Amino acid sequence: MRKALALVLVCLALAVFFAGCGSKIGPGYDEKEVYIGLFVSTSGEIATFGTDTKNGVELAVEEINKAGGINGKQIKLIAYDTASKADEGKTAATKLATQDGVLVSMGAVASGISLAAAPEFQKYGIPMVSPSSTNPTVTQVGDHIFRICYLDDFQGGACAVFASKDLKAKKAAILQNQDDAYSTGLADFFEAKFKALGGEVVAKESYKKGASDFKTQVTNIKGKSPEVIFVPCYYNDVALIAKEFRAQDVTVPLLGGDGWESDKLIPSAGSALEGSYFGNHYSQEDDNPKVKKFVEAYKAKYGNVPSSLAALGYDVVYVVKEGIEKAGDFDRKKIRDALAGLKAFDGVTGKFDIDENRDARKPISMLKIEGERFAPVRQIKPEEVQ
Amino acid sequence: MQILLDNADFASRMLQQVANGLTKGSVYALVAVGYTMVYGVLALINFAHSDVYMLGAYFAYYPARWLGYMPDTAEKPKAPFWLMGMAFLGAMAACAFIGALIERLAYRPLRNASRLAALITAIGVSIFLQNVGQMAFGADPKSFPRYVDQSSVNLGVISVGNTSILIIVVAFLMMAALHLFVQKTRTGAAMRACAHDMKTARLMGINVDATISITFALGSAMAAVGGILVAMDQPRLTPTMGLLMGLKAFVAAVLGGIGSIPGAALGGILLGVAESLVGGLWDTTYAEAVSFVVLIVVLLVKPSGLLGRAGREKV
Amino acid sequence: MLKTLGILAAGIAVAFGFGLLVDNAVPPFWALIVNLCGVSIILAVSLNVINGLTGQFSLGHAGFMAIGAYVSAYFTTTLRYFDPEVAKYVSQQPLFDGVWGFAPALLVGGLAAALAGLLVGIPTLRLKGDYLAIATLGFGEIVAILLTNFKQVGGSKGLTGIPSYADTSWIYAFVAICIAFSLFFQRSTFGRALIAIRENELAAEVMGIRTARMKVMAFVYGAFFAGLAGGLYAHLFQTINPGNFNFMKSVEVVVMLVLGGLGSLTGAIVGAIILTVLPEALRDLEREIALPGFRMALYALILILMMIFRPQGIFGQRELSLKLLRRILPGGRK
Repeated sequence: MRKALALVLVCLALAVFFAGCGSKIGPGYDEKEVYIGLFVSTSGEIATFGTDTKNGVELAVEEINKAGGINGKQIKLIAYDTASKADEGKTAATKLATQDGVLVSMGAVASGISLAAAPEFQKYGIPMVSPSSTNPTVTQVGDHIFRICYLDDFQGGACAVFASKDLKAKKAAILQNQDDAYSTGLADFFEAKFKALGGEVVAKESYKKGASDFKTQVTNIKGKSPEVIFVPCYYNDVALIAKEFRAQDVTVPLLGGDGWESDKLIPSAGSALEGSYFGNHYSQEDDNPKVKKFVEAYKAKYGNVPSSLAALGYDVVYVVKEGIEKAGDFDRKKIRDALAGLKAFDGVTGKFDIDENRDARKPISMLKIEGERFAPVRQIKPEEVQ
Repeated sequence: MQILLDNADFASRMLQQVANGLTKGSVYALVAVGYTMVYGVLALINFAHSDVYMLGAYFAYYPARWLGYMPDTAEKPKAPFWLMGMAFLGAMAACAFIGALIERLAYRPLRNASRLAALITAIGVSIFLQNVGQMAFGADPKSFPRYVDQSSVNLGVISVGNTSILIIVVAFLMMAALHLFVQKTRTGAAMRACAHDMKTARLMGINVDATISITFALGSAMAAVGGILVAMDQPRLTPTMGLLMGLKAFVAAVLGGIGSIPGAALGGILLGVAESLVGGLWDTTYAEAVSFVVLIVVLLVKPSGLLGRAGREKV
Repeated sequence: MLKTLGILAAGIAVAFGFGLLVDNAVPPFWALIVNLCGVSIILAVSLNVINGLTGQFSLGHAGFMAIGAYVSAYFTTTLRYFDPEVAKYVSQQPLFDGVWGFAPALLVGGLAAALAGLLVGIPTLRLKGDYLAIATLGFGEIVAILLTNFKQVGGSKGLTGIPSYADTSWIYAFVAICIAFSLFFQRSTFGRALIAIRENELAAEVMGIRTARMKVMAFVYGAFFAGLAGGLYAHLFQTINPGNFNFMKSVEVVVMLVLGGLGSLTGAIVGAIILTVLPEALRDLEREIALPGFRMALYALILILMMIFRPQGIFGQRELSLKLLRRILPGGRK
């Protein structure tokens, strides 16, 4: 008992001694550099998305630093891998906030990881801008959390509008990955909007993460003869799913969201996706000189065509830059206010405002798969979906 | 009339689901054989078996890639028939070797240790192979070479993929051959003797170590075939592709009666069809839970499975 | 009994002192690791009762943890409002908050997990060794599938916006409680009965130990603390989803036990600390050599080598004590 008491006293004494040393965070810059954090998954299941994002970010940082930096300071990028795990999002965020003392942080791709990281940045008053977390709850964490992509409710709704108005479908089927919040979220928003537009969802089938046999689900969907099939999944599942639909002689178009986009989609799906559609953040074939310049620079640096995640990664750096420049000062509070009031930002992924929920209001580009091309069909604006 | 039509439609869909289940179940059976043989001899759940299945698929992928049959384009050149034969034989041989190697390095030192220690080691080997696979092959999925062109075959009211038929036929032939081997050859008799009573088998002059190595090699070769067949039907390779398959194949082995090869075949087919029918009749969300529910029910009601012999407690 | 209570009270006091120290003096990143260590310790110590003392083999600890995490988080997020539907539109004073919300929420989470332990424990009584392992694995997977399909708890998205109640003091208070209970149990008739079951179930039965009841008790006890650990985890990370509690999580806890030595309380604690700190230490290494998967492969290798060369773990069934230290350290009394 006496020993325990002594221990408590020692702890207390140490606590008093060290009090105040621990929880202070750095200013986020020094004479020459401004510290900006990045946390994306460059390993694990969703490594391709994180790697593309990081490539886009690094390209933008390089450009900005060459052009003289932000308000005369060079960007020092501090990047951590979150290994496709939510837990790692929290540890990375804590590290960025307290050990590295970043001024602003960027990340993550997956909403689950952003959700785990956001409370940390909110706690320390560090603005966090997610390039591509589409789940609506992400920015609800607090007033320091922003995003520059559209939301799942809009994305799912836009796909429903496209299915109903452009494809003139009355009967749709859904095939979702039941273990993935992105997939089930899109599926629910699509279903609600499609029904509101007078359509009928004739089948809603699910599969487990890691499954590669979709025969049962496809047979069920085939039995309901839908006119379009919504498959809100990631590209590597989509390729297998498409093959199975064609193997069972289902020829109606498939429809999906931004998870489809990958330069590996067509090589692994072959011709099974010919004539299918998906919604994306931008089109690589856009005539906009800004996009052209970006695509050229990216190709020169990495050797392949940039995915939309790379484009969002590129844009998020410029959003942060504009936020800091508008604030006029390296002060986190002022930067937060500047970001919250950002209007008509002109990026590679389109012109957009940051709205009162700290989300980006921007259109979605519907693309059609033709051979090895993603051909732009049309853009759907936020007003069309509401 | 409408009701009749609806029923005909319903019946044909269910028939289609049975065909789907047969395809799935044949692979379960093929992988389950490896679990059942090892368990029969060593009373060990060889968790690493599912990763040997994964390796089998990768071993059949790389030769085609090295020979230029895997360009990054939508249309891939068709790999010649001889290459497919080589891929099958090569992957089977390589997996047989790896299976025997795993036994030699990881399990043999523990043969007289507690079964728990062996089980933990097996889990360790499985995680090890998955992550070494990730390091060696990369975490991103790979598509599979065009060894066969997928097409669908019309069988009256249902249509079945040619790869499905291939899976069912090959799996059945392999298992029949294995069953004959175990029942009719001297080595097979030695395996049965070891499964029955290892100590006595040793006393009777059977080389127990060699027999166990052969058991692992045979089971692993079967897993390799399973891996390649599945990859032909569902052309996506990942280092974790064995995870779900391994769990289900093990359930199939338990359902059929662990230790029995015909049992593994029966258990695999039943489980595959049950999953498909639950998915077809009820909800695909719960189809995945079928195998785990089956597992727990079998373990509680009849742990010796459908065709297994009831074990006795050795005091 | 009195002595146990004394240890308990002292432990909680130390925990609060420790909490104050960590909150004020340790950089937040390391504080997070310290907190994670606490959760891991509770998990490992509770699993030790099932796997170590009783010699059963559960691979479903993550399932119990999930139940505790979800139930307690559901309490502190949705249920604490009188009417959650109304709360969406009107800012409403929560019915309970802070300590008054957290303590009962944790308790309910633990009890729910204990109930699950009872439900799993009774039917699986007749299973042994690897059959039990595979059945509990099945249980863990079923829990995950069910959680994924419950829209009320967010489906695959899980629960978000969980208040950050679990600080170092809270976590280590529960670590103290868990350890004190386990110490008490190990030395009580109950603990000795469990050890007897591990050593020889048949003999234990003959000696008049009601093995069935004891085994179920061990399950319920382990599940309760796993549920508490889950609740703490949820209020530390503030967001949970079914993917957090998969098979690999169960394996991780088993590895902690095996590393420290199945059956040793201090072994479980040391194993938990090593396996929580090691990944952080390896993270930078993994990044440097740019080989994802390296970390887990190393884990697995440690596990295999451990089993082959030192199956009893670092401590075996011994406990780390000052006496043992004195014997090991050079110059100590032999």
